[in-house]
Amino acid sequence: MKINIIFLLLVYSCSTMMLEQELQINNLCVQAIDSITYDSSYIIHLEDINSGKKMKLLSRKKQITQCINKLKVGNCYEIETIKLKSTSEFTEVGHRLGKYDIYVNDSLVFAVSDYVVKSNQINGLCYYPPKIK
Amino acid sequence: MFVTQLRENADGTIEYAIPSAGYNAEMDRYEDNDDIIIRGEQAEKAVSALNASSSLTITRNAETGKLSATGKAKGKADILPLKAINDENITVELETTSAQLYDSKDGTKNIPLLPGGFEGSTINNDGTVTATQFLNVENAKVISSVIGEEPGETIRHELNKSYLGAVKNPGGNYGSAYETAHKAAAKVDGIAHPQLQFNEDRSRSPHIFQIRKTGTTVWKDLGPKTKMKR
Repeated sequence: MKINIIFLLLVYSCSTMMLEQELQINNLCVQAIDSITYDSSYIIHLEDINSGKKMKLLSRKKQITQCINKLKVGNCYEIETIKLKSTSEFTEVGHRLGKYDIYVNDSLVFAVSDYVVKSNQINGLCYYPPKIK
Repeated sequence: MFVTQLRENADGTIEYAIPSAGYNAEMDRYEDNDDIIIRGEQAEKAVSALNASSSLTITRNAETGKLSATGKAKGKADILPLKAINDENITVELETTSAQLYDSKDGTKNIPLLPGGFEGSTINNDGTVTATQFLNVENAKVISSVIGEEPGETIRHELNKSYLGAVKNPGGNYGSAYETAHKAAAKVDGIAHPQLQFNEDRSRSPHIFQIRKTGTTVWKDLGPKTKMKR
């Protein structure tokens, strides 16, 4: 019985850790929104207010008919983020992120060390707050 | 069992004598599953570049694309392609192209060829493994000039990486096999792997891809944005 409980606790804690690695909730402040570099995507420059870590969030430009909140430069939001290893879903050229510095017209877009994320809550520039159970 | 005569010389070099690539002397027939195969529009350019940077003499069957090699291998980087050629469990397929972009089997679209595209490997029904690598040979020449190596050394790195990916992570894809394969290949090939920067010059039509070494200021053209057909 005790062994079973320990086993279940181990499985629960491990699966929770895995989930947290995939899906993190960050308190992020919007520093800038780049709508020019890519035709189909926004690059949103963010800073985590807890860790000070800077990151870039990629978001597809889509026509939104209803927005609950709009992301605004200078405001901070609680956003679920997922680690991203390539830009394939968001930009015309599918860079493998973290391999080399990426420039467009001689302007640095993604540094090799950039932490680039996507979010399942950002749709265009509309921000949907997480569901409350 | 492929028959290869191997001898270590007094100077430390290892000499291989290969009667004929893929020829099984015991079975008196050609084997199909122990090869490096180079295909595509730049295949011969790739072989020429490999020969220019190798102590081996590498030849390519124009019909099958299979490589064979004779001569003395000097150093680990030269030995590895020989191992790949003679590995009866692993086939390395190198597809050459003049295009700048390819779609990966992992779903990533329009990836730049700088100069290679690592696709990992698949495990076949008979248990053998087939590794796939894409390569733009002209890009290999440009990148080699940027990093100060010979094109053949850069191409050999791509071959070694593909082979070692299949050895270390058979059936793996980019996500699961690339880093290990790259590090293992870099360890044996002895060439520089400096940090690179990539630029998309949109002031020209069509857009031109460019490359430079981090810390330098001059971009070198790779070519226009064209997609590899598969």
